[in-house]
Amino acid sequence: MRIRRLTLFPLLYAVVFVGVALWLSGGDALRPFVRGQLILVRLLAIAGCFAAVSAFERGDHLRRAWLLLGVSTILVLARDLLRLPPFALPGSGVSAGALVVSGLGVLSNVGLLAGIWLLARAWRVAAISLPVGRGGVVGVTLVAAVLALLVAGPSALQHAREVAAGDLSALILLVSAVVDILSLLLLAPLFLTTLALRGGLFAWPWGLVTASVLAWLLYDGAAAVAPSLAPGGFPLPDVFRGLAENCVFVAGLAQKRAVDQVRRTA
Amino acid sequence: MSISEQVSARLAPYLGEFNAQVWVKTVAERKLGVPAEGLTLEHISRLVEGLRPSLNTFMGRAAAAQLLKKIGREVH
Repeated sequence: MRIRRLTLFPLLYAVVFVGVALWLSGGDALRPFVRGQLILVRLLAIAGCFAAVSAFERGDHLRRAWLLLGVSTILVLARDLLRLPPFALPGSGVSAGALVVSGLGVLSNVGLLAGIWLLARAWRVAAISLPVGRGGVVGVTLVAAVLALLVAGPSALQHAREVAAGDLSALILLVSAVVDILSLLLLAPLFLTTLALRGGLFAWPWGLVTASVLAWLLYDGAAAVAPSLAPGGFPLPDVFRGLAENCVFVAGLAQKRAVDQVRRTA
Repeated sequence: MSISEQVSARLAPYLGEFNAQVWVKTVAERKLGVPAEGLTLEHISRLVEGLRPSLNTFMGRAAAAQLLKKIGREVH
């Protein structure tokens, strides 16, 4: 299948998800459906990351990046599974179960950030030129910073206040919010690398990872205004979460196909 | 077609036309000390070595080695 066609998958998935969620809206089946598809998109993202890992050799810069993204998704999948029956551990609080769940969440966030950071700095490691001057880089970085602070800033501030007031259970949420802001800041180099590689096969993985980070931005925004599975509500954040994970899935496949194509034709 | 254009044309399907041209020009000027349009067949092996680190980053060492070998073989 051509990479261009693969890129339609996240959008098609989102359309199907919205359709099924609307159909199940208000019924008891909505919650199990949303939870089930969450596991599915995590598994797809893991498959994509490890497909990309398999395209590289030990020691390759991008192998480390994809490995970190894959491992971080495994950790967040473990967290999701622990929150489901029969474990049903709480997602917040100071009990041992809650700390395990939160700890997995933070570790996965840090792994995701490290993986995206390695992808985002590839242009610097490769010493390539970006298609915009210093002013353009500063401009795109500022836009990303404003977006990041607008979307994840209020949550970070709120959790920082809770920690300052002595609520240590909010520390993990604060770390998570800060990691969110830092990930969103990496939008600028990811986007500019995509622009630099435009027209080439290797632009696809960067473009799709950029789209994934953007989808996480939308997820954060949606989660702030419409908490997932609110009673009688539409699971809007899950639309964006699925989009983000599926973009990583397709990015991993695109990365593998690009490397394989070089090997086939060279 | 000049040496620079031949090498760029072989990189462009993977890394985009913009990058391919800029990379060849940058390596020619910084590592070989000649303008891109001044590249000759004698420069090919050093040009290929100059391109290797960037290609290693984006496509991994194995694929980069194959592509650079192909460039060394085909450019004339």
